[in-house]
Formats: sequence, C-alpha cells, structure tokens
Amino acid sequence: MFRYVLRRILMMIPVLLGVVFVIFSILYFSPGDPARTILGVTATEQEVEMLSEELGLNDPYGVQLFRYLQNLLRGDMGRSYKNNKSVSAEIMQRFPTTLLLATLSILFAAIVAIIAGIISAIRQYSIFDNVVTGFSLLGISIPNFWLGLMLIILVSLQWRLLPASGFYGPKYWILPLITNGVGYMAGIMRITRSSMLEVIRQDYIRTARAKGQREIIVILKHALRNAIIPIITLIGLQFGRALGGAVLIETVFAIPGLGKYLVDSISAKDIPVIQGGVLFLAFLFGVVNLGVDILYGFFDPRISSQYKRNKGKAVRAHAK
Amino acid sequence: MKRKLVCLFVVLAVVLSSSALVLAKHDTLIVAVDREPSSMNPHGSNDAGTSFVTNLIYEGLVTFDSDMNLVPELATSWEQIDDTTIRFFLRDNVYFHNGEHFTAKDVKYTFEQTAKSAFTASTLGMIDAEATTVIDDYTIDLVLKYPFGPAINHLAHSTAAIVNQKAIEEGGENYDDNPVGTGPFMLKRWNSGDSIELATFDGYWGAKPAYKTLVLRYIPEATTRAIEVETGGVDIARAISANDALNLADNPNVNVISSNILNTTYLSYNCSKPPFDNVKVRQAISSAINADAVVRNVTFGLGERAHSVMAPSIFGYTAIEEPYGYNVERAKQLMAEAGYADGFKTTLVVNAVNASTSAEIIQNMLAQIGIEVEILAYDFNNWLDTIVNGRQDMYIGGWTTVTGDADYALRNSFHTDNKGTGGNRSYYSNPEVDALLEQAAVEMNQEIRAELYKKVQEILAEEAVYVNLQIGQVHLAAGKHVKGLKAHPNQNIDLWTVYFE
Amino acid sequence: MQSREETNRSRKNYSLWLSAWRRLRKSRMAMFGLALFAIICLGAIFADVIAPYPYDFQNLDETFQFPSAKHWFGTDSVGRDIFSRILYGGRVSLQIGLISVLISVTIGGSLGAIAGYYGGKTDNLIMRTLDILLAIPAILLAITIVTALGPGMFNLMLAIGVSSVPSFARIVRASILSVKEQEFVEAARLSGCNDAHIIFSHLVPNIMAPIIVQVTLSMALSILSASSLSFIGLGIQPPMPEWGAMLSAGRAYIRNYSHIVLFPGLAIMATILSLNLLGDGLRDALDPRLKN
Repeated sequence: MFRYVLRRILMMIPVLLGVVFVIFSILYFSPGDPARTILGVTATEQEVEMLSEELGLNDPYGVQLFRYLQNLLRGDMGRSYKNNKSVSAEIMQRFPTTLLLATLSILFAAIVAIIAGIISAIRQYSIFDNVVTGFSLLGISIPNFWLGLMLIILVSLQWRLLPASGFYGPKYWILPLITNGVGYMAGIMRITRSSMLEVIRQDYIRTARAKGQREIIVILKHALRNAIIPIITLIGLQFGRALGGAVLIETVFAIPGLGKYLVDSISAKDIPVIQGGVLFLAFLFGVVNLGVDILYGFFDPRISSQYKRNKGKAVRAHAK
Repeated sequence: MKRKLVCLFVVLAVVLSSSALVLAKHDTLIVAVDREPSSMNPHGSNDAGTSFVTNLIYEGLVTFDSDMNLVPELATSWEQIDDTTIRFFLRDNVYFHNGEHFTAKDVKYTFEQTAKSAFTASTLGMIDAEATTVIDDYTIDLVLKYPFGPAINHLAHSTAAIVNQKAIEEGGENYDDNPVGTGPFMLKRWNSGDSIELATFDGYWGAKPAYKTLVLRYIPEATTRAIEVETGGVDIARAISANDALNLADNPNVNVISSNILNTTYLSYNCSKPPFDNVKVRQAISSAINADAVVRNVTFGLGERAHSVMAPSIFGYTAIEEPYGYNVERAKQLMAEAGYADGFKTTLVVNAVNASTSAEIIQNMLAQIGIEVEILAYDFNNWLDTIVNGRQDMYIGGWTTVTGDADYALRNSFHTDNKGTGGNRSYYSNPEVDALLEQAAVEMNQEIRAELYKKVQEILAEEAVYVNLQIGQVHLAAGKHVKGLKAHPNQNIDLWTVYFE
Repeated sequence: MQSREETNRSRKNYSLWLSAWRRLRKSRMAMFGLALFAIICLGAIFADVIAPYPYDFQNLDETFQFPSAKHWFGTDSVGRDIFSRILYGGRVSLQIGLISVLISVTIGGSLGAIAGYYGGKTDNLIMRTLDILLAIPAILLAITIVTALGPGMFNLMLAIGVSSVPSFARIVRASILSVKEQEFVEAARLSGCNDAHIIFSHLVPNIMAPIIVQVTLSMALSILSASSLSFIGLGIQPPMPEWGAMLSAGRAYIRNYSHIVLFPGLAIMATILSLNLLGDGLRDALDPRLKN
C-alpha cells in the first residue's frame, strides 16, 4: 500500500512539471505587457522599462522558465507582480477559506443529495423522483451569482436574518455554502440514484430482505455500502473542483478565496500568481484523486488487493 | 458537569469565531471599498486603490482640498527662490508613527526614493534629489532639473508622500507589514483579499479622528456594497453603481454623494492611420454621435458630459463650445467632402468591462452615416497593449489627471514626442500644439499657462481629436448616522473628517 | 471490404438503434428533454423569422422596459428587445456547444482511440500528457487560452473544446479497451486491414453509445462554460447576443430590473436541463445491460 501511494506521488511530479511548462508558455506568448498593465494607462515608456527590468521581464523565455523552476525547487513561488507579496504566502492565506467553503458546500450537497438519491431510487418513477430530479437539474443550470444575489436580497436585506457578505463566522457561511452547494447536488443525486438502482436489483439484496432484515438496514447497510464507490468518485472529483475556488460566489459574497484571486491575476497577467495558483491546484487535484482511490480500498477489498498486486496500475473502473 | 463544560466550550468556540467584526459601534468606522491597494508604500504603486489607503497613512508637503485647491500639509508655506528652486518651510510638531520626529532630512530622502521607483519616476522626475538641499531641520530647498510650472501640483499627489528612512530601511521587503507615515491612521493589519484594519494615531499633529478604528472591507461586487450600507453592515460604501445611487436616493436611512473625478472618457482614433488622418472624417464622426444621449444612457442620467478633453476641476480647464456637436446632416456632408460618401468599415477597441455599452450605442449611431463599426471588446491588458502599440483604428479611452494640472492632461496625451507609449494614444501630431505645450510646461506664471492651455483645447476641439463623452463620476453611499463625509475629485476620501451622530 | 459478417453486423446495428430509440421513447423525462431542446434549436434556427426586432436595434428612449405586449421579455439598457436577443443568442450558444464538442470529440476521441488500441507506451504517453490538461482547472485553462489568443467566438470554441479533450479521450479509450478483444476485430486484422481502418471503421462504430451520451452532456457543459467566460468578459464580442454576456451586463440592475437577468438565465437553464435529461435518457436507453 505504501509503495502504491509513493508511486502515485512520484507520478505526479512529471505532470506538475508539464503544468508549469504549459501555463508558462501560454502566458509568455500571449499579448500584453505585465509591467504596463500594473503601471496603468498613464504610464510612460521610461516607467515601464524600469519596472520590466525590476521584474526580470526582459530576459528570454528559457532564462525566465529556468529561473522559475530553480526557485520552485527551493520552495519559492516568486512574488506577485501586482503587490509584491510572496505568492506562496498569499495562496496559503486564502486556501483555508477556500477549503472551508468547499468542504461546507460539498458536505451540504452530499448530505442532501445522497438522501434524496436513495429515496428516489427506492421510489423510482414516483412524483418525488421526478420532482427531485428536476430540482437538482435546476441546481446545476441556475446561474450561481443570480442565486447568490437573490438570497442576499431576500435573506439579508428583506428579512435581516444573515449578513450580506464576508466569511467571518458561522452565520456568514450559510448563504455562500447554499449557493455553492446547489451546483454540486445534481451530479451527486443522479449518481446516487443510478448506483442504488443497480445495486437494489442484485440478488444479495433480495436475500437480505428474505432473511427478514428491516428495510432501513437493508438500504443503508447492504445497498448503500455497495453503491458508494461511484458516489465517492464523483464527490472526490467535485471536491477537487470546489477547491479550485468559486469565483462568482467569492465575488458576490466578498469571500477572500483562491478562485477570485486566480481569475483576477489572469486578467492582470500576474504571471507568478497564475503559475503558483495553477500548480497548487494541480497538486491538490492529484492529492484528492489519490485520496479517493485509497478510500476505494477501504470500501472494496477487491480493489485494494489490486493495488498491492498490480504495483500501482489500478484501473479505476468506475471513473466518470 | 462534563456535559456542561463541553457545551460551554462549543458555545465559546462558535461565539469567538463569529466575533471578528463585532466591535463597539461608534468606535469603529467601516467602509466598503472596491479596490485593494497594491502596496503600503506610496512609491510602490500609483493605482487609485493604493492611494486611497496611503492617503490615510501618509502626508505630503502639500495636498488638495475637496475643491482641488492646493493647501499646505507638512509644509506651512513655500516661496519660489528661482526658476528651479522652491523653498519649503516645514511644520515642527510632526511625528512619524514610529516616534521619529519629522524633519527636512525626511523630505530629501523621500525624493531620493521616488527617483528610483518605476511608479514615480516620471510624475516626480522633474525633482533633482541630489541638488536638493537641507537648509535646517525645518527648511528645505527643493531643486528641479528644469523649470516646471505644475511642480507644486505634482507634490500634492499621493505618490509624493513623505516616508521615513529608518522604517523603509528596516522594513525592507516586509515594509508593507509595518508602514510608517505621519498621517492620522496607522496600519494595524492587512488581511489580504479581505480587509484592512487601521487605528488612529495618538501622536498625530492635526485634528484626530472621532473614532478609534477604521476598517476597510474589500467587497468587489457593487450591488453587495450597496446592500451592506442599507443593512447597516458597513457605514460607508465607495463606488456604488449609478443604478443603486438612483435607488438609494429615496431611502431615508442612506445618503448618496455623487462627485465628479479627475477623469474623462472619450472616443478617439489612431490619427496617423487613414481615414482618421483626415480631419474632415473626424469632424464627421463627431457630428454623427449624439454624445449627450450616450452619456445620459450609460450614467443613468446622473453623469455630466465633458466639454473638453479633460475634467473641469483641473487647473487650465476651459469649457469649449463644441464646433462639431451632434448634427447628422453636417456629418454626412463632411463625409462626402472627405471623399467617403459611401462610408467605410472600421474597428473600435474598448475595455470590455466599462465601455461596451458606449461602444454599442456609438456603433449604432455611426451606421447612420455609413460607417460600419466592428467592436473589439478586450480585457484591460489587451486593450492597453493595442492602443499603446497603435494597432487601433478607433478606441474608447479614459485619462485620469492625478495631478490636477493641465500639463499632465495634455502634454502626455497630445504631444508628438509622447506618441504611443508616452501616453499619446491618438497618435496626434501638431507642431503648433507641441510648441504651446512645451511653453506652458516651463512657464511659471499660472495665468499665462492657463491662456496657453485654452488655446490648445480650442485647437483640439476644432481638429475633433476626441469625441468627449462623460466626466468620470463616483457615487458614495453612507448611513444617515455618518456626518462630515466629503468626496474628493482625486477619488480619495479624507476619512478623518467623518464623525457619527 | 465488406465481409458477410460485416453486413450482418450493420443490419444488427440498425435494429439495435431502433430498439434503443424505443426504449428512449418510454422515458418521459428524456422525451421532455428532447422536445425542449428541439424547441430551443428551432427558435435559434428560425430566429430571423420569429424575432420581432433585429437583435441590435437600439431605442435609447425605451430602455429598461418591463415585459409587455410590445416587448415580450422587455428591453435592456439600450432599448433592445430581449426576446429577439434570446432567440439569436440561442444561435450563438448552440453553435458554440456543437463546434467545441466537435473539437473535443475529434481530438479527444482520436487520441483515446489510439491510446486504447495500441496500449503500452503509447497509451501511457498520451494519457499522462492529457493528465496535465486535466490537472489544470477547466475554467482557468479556458480563461488562459482566451486571454492568450484574444476574445472572439472561434477562440472561445477552441478554448472550451481543448479543455474537454481529456474526458472524451478517457471515455473512448475505456470503450476501445473493452471492445478490442472481440472476434470481429481479429477477423478484420486477419483479412489484412491496416490499423487506422480497424480503429475508425470497425471499433469506433461499436462504441458510439457512450460517446453519444458524453456528447450531449459535454454540450451542456460547453454552453455553461461559454456563458461563464462571456460573463467574465472574455468571449463574444458585442453587440452579438450571448446569454452569459447578457447576464453579465444585467448584473448591476438585478434589483429593480430583474427581467434583464431572468430571461437569459432561464434560457441557459432550459438548454442545460434539456441536454442533461436527453443525455440521461440516452444513457439508460443505450445501456447494453438493460437490453432485456
């Protein structure tokens, strides 16, 4: 098991290097001058030159890339062009906020969606089933900034129940996590439903029922346990995505997270921040995937033995 | 007993974690802002988000009041010794946040720093820091490299704020954690991306603010900012949308202050590219656009039309009676005279965020005289890159004259030497205008300068280099319990004058 | 090179499609999705005929009108008819959805097919390279590409298409893996067909089911991504209507002129909803395990 984890981590390294290379190249060859963008409309040529020199922007492609990689190996992601703060410090400052928002949103989405999915599966084609499917699909298609602003107008302004923006404590978390979570509910609900449907038809469920087990035990202990793998896969993927931050939610609710930070840095051509941020997210994504695979092992001994047998080339049969 | 302890623990945890912004109401002023600073060092950046904050922490030799008059700040008076020397007499009762006493040495050090910074090298480039001499602790002779009429205006800009040598040298790369100025506020904490907490400075030489803590909350969405003022979550909101300004006008609990800033928006061209090198074409376009309607639409009726290439509160401004105002017949006639009776196709580059609507209206209007416009809505980056390198045909741009003086507004934008990267994005070249601008720059008599600038603006209007659109405008919203609030044309707010009722 | 087995196979395929269609018809949700999508497509295709006004016809005196008999969905900030703009906006969205997915399927599908068929080192190389693309959050990748190439419809489609390449590659590869060991492949190889022919004429037609399902779901995702990108300001150039751009423009007026934001939002929702319902239905209908 340990060897498997180690191998997976080592395999991430070339991927991460590839990410650095791809992003760096795209940014390097795109139009626009970071120094000028920072200095603004009224900047003179002299000023732009001075700043370009300071930031090392005049060096050729290879030199800049090499310098970046060198620093990266020392743990230094460079400094933001815009406010000269350490990129790693800025990312680390915002990451806990994004982590909190992502965790809360996914928890909320998962709890609601799994329960709804199970009930839908048990009562397939009923009105409940159709309504829930409809609602969850609404959830992914509704523009989330619209939902956010509507909630603020209703709950903060009209009813004065919750604060309109910020992320300082539990009462600040509620509206953002609902707005964000709604987008993830649909996928989880649908996969819970289809996975449960598949499992319910199996023989061992009939056996459990025939043995006289209470229905709820049948559902939770036998059915859900076996249906959980694709559900976990999806939740893992969505958690990985959620960690990328939710730009619009962060904008509307004034939450200092990673999403808006990165998107703003792309428009500002703040290259160190973009590179650091994307690299960090790619790393997180790899870690989350690894975590999900390990979780499989806990739930399904067939798979964990594969890890040990195939020396790390486990085929994720339920992926996507 | 154990259960009770656990409960207590949980309650405490929840309460403490929500306590971040629960401070005594009238000891704290909370302001919602739309921009974060890039630096806590006034020479470390020149954007409006930074000067909003450095304006609270630092002071300069002189400053602008809310009517754009030059008033003394750290200097009590000054006199022109000769064409390139100005003698400043300094205040003797000023202390920095780190306890050091403010003297003339700090002024000299400051200008040695500004000469080295990319953000101030040109606005303060006329200062010869080496030749500047400290006469005594409270007198300094500022020496310029060449005679420069608007020199004092440049010194009032937030990038000319005085810094403390010890603090800068000790702070090094981490200076932003502990900036030191002479202003009424000190930085307590900068929660990047979230908020900035400031405390009033007990040793401040002037009138101290009426409260103890100032919190600037960064809230990027304009609608959310307005809502926070309405719910009382913040006391003041900067830059609410025109739409919200109209809505809040009817709200008895909120006051809205709308003010013009030192900025105008305009439609212009690359005047070195055909057909825009033909003055008749430009005049035709000016005549085809109902600029009043455009301004009325995009500012919700709250904005004002600009009557010159710069904003009214700038020294040297003259309101020009438009020689080529809205007149579609004349437009068609001029097009024919220019040889384009059938019109032509062209492109219009705009900054997608704030000029799309203006572009669409203008596109529509120009279609009436046969000009087919393709809109290129770029992000700020690309847009700037395009006009700096002269790739545009037509563009919508804006210019903020941070120094409040016509030299900055006109010479950078219209002098032949400044084409493209220098600031002259219309690539306009006129030797007569060049001569006038050069003369006014070194003229020390302000009345003569005003006359020269008047001539320049008249020529620019006749040559239809810009179609002037709106004067920049900012709307402030504040709860009705907030008094003493004044908006500045330079977009800063002197928050130390605010008090609660 | 049609052998008798191949002819039999095509006939069998045809009847398979027919039975799949019959299964699809049974699901009410899927049919609803299909109908809704058809309406949206028709609205977009016949926009010239249906729309009461041109999409760029401004009237500065009739701005911000609420829905009325004259303007069914009201007017926007420069007095344009929102209903007409929604119809034309459908064209833009559907075009983007279709073409970006086409890009993804072609590039991703080919890569996946090659990886699945050849296996071994080729497989490893291709999939690891795609991992790089996959590791970058899709929206950031799209934004970076558009920032680099400049805004505009084609660049938008390219950016979105590229970010979906890995998922198609994965699906095609997985399907190819499960199908390539079958007998007819061996037969084709023995009759002397070259690799490319085997892949594209024999294997691919037999894995259409998961591809089709993914196509509908991907279209939904593309339309959503296009809206998000236009929303941020990188995308469709004005005055071309695009639902996401209309949302973005209407954002500041959400409190007193919410109709400006409501209708584009509903349009996006309806499109995504219908595509998802259709995709789900197709997945159930084409699932070989449910054949009986």
